[in-house]
Amino acid sequence: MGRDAFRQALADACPPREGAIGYVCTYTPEELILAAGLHPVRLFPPGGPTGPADAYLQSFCCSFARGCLDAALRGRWDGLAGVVFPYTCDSLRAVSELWRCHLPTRHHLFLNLPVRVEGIAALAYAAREFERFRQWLEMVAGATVGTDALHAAVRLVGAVRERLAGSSLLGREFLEVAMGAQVMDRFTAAELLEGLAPKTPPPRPGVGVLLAGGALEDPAILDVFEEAGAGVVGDDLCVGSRYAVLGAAWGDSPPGGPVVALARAYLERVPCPTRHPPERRLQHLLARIAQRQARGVVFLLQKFCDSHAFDLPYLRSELSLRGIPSLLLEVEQGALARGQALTRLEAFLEIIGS
Amino acid sequence: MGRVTGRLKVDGRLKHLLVAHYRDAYLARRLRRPLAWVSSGAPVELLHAMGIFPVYPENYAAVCASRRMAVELAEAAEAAGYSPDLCSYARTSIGSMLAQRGPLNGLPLPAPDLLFAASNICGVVVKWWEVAARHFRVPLFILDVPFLAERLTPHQVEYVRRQLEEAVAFFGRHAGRRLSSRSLSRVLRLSAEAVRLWNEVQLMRRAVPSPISALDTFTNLFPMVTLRGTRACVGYLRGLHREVAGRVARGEGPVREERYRLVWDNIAIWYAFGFMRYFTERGASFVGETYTWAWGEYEFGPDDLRDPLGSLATQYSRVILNVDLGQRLDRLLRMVEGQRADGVVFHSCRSCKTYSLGQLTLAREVQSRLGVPTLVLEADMADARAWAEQSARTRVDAFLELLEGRRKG
Amino acid sequence: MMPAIGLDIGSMTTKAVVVEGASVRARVMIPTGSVPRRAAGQAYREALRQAGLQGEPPAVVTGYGRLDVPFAARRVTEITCHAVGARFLFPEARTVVDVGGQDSKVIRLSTDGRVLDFVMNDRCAAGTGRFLEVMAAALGLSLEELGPASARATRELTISSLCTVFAESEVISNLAAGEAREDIVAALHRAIARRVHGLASRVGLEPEVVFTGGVALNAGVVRELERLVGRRLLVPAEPQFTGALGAALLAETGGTP
Ligand SMILES: Nc1ncnc2c1ncn2[C@@H]1O[C@H](COP(=O)(O)OP(=O)(O)OP(=O)(O)O)[C@@H](O)[C@H]1O
Ligand code: SF4
Ligand SMILES: [Mg+2]
Repeated sequence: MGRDAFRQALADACPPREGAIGYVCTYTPEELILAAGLHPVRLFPPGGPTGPADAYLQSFCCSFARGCLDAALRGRWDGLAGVVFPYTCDSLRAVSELWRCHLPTRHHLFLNLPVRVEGIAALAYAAREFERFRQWLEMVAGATVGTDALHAAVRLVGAVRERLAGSSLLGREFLEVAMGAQVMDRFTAAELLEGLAPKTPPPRPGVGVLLAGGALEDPAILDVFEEAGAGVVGDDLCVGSRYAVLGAAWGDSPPGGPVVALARAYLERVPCPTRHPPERRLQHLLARIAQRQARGVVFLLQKFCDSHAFDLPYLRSELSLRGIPSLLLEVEQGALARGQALTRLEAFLEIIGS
Repeated sequence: MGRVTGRLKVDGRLKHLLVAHYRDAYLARRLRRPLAWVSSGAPVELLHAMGIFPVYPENYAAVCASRRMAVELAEAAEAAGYSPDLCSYARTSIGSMLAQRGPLNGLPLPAPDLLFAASNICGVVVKWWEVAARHFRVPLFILDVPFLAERLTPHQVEYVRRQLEEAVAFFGRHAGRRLSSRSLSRVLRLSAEAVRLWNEVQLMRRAVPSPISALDTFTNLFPMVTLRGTRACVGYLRGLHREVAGRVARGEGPVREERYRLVWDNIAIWYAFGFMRYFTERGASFVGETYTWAWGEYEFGPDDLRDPLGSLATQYSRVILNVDLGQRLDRLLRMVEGQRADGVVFHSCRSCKTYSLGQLTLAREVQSRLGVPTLVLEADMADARAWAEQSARTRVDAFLELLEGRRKG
Repeated sequence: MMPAIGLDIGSMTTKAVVVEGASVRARVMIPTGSVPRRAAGQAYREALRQAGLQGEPPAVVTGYGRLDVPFAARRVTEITCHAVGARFLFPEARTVVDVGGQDSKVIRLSTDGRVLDFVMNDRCAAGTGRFLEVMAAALGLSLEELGPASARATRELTISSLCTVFAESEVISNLAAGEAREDIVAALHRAIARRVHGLASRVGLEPEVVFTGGVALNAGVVRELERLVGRRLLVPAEPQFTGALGAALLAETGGTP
């Protein structure tokens, strides 16, 4: 029952309620949105072929970014009160600009996050941007964002993240729930997440794989894995577990105030490849593999995603030095080239199973 | 009608500068001069002032492309697992790093002692420099320059400025050099003088016929990119300035009969200069390029010398690839009008997302605001595998027919 | 007025049209083959023979092979020729979509028929006639059968890949999965139409829209494109000859586009 609610939320895309704020990347501090009494909705484009956006974007823009603009132009998110684009990559930055030019969304904010996540200058700067975000939200909501509300929001999102991180769901089921939770009302999400038991049987021993990569459109992409007989035992995806691992919790009076503490938490999380320096990323990936006892890693790369593509040769060679096999599959329009992916996955399983 | 002129005479000196630059780069180690790999949008003035020798992997990749070596180097990177969809400059550079080969006497770019890249041109350079740092195991400094959306915020400038202070300390620590304010002022003055001369040369292209075209500026850009802030650069630009002014006075230009005046957007197609010559043969002159113009945007006045780091922070935040579409459009419209252009050619460069995504909207705006026709050409600046010259020529023919129809109509 | 001749040396077919006044006197089409020059000469002589003309009237030559024809009096691009031809057939035309064997182009015209803007597909064959030929072969159908077959489709399939190689393997795996050929053909037509429509929206689709080139003979593609555009398209009775017709008209007036 509970799972259907998440699936439904994902399909609905934009909850029919006031004060919905769309955002495109997990670097958006959704705690602030909630503290303003607004509703954070992560934007997942539907996948599949695009239409209207092709008039504005050339073929070498990744289909996730393109899909966001396309769905917006088709009216998928017409109900949003505002949209936030945190700085992540060159393509989404361009989509943010095009959204501003070609869509009538009332409020638009480019949250100018730093690329650097270490050092005092970056923290000071990020905190100022968070503060600017807070003021923007106050303007959109017509209400102030108080400290108590922020503490409550941090607790709420903390509960959602914690329950996701501790969930025993796997594969497509987990991804559906994780993605759904980023769209639906967070109270409901926190409640429903409690007591969600897995339906899929645990994977056959020896063929458990970990998924790694960036953004994805549709959890259905994991069906191929099931078809191939690959158990997905965990992920390091920005739409999945990476959303769950941010630890934003602090005592009653953190130094610098709660907004600074929030900024620090976001900078200290596992960096995605759009952030510098990158070293902690490999450590995190290795930890996930160990923790989930995965036998191999499947990288899902959005075609044309520069940030992830640059890291791949390095990550894969580090894994291989440690005897961990990996496979690369390219995602386009929210899907894998089915026939080809199936063959490659099966061959990969033969390798890791033996 | 103007008289036709071939290549600029200063081009001879240019070749000399280029050779000398790379020779010095290869000698740097022996001369105990620290060598840094620098991205094209980084504040190189700092390095010159601290006696650190800068080389530009992007320029090197362009050299590889114009000598037709980029594809095989890119393939070496692809063989190592780098996606063929990545920026071709990055692939060329990484390939040359891995294969230890290159077009200059067969050599790759000399290994760096330090790495310095600024995020103001793209996210790509950050990743590319990370690859280099792992490969060479040398210290890397990323100067994070936030996007300039609508306006420059004070905390943004402050952030960049604090990083510049860190950078000075970083160079001190790893290269054993110190920054004196006297040498920084000297470098900034030289840089300002180079920018002034460069901009004057660009504005001389308002003349009918235009004294030079895109081929000239694309080639002559080299000193502005790599030697900005040195005496050699200023000396060279004086010569260029003199020669171009002479052409204007005599009514000379590269085109026999100037029928069309065009503006170019995006990086040059380094392996297809023959294609650029085709424009000239058909009576079309380029009177401006957003790309070569970009190096005229660093303007340091006397006031800036009082707070050089703050001023560098501001200037390097304003570069063309770091500003929003509205500002991009303003600059473009001003160029089209100011240079009296009657068409804009957009090179939609599949490698360079910051430059290319948004061009389709810019093209529409140019058409609707100025009634000036536009042409979008799909290509790549270094990877010739994405290039189909014959069909590009057909597009140019059709575009010139369209412009001709307007002249008549 | 003197009779005039236009030649369109396309990547697949070479077309020749002879006009006199406002009427077409002869029309020839042959495969271009590997030597465009030879096809051009053959089509030229044949068209003159059909029109019963003596001598060697100057020809305006267009199409990708135009540079390869030594006897061309003038060379003009397909963009201009299709615009002129379409405009002659349909004076109300404001947009011309030409989908041939190798290229697809969309041309926007001013009210007085001047070319305002145009776009062409990028280098790959996706969204062109060549793509359909490869797919027809994979399905064991002739080109002529594609349109009628898709009219009998009952299920909405999606062919997601537009790369000819991958799409072909998708077609094959769909066949293997037991999907009906009709449904697969319809999906291919939708894929092409989407691609062409995407291209068209870059220059803007002003009505009336004229559809020319060999692919306009395929009723399935016409239907899908009409659905996306949201209005009827004007298709000439002989869409493949539009470019050659434009060239002949330019030869007749001796004028510039
Ligand atoms: N009877 C037909 N039914 C359906 N499609 C057809 C038919 N005849 C030709 N075609 C399509 O038309 C295409 C050829 O069109 P056309 O003759 O306009 O091309 P072209 O001018 O040679 O090529 P290009 O303009 O790209 O250089 C073929 O690839 C085919 O897909
Ligand atoms: S992406 Fe563009 S700006 Fe960045 S290095 Fe490549 S060409 Fe240069
Ligand atoms: Mg044709």
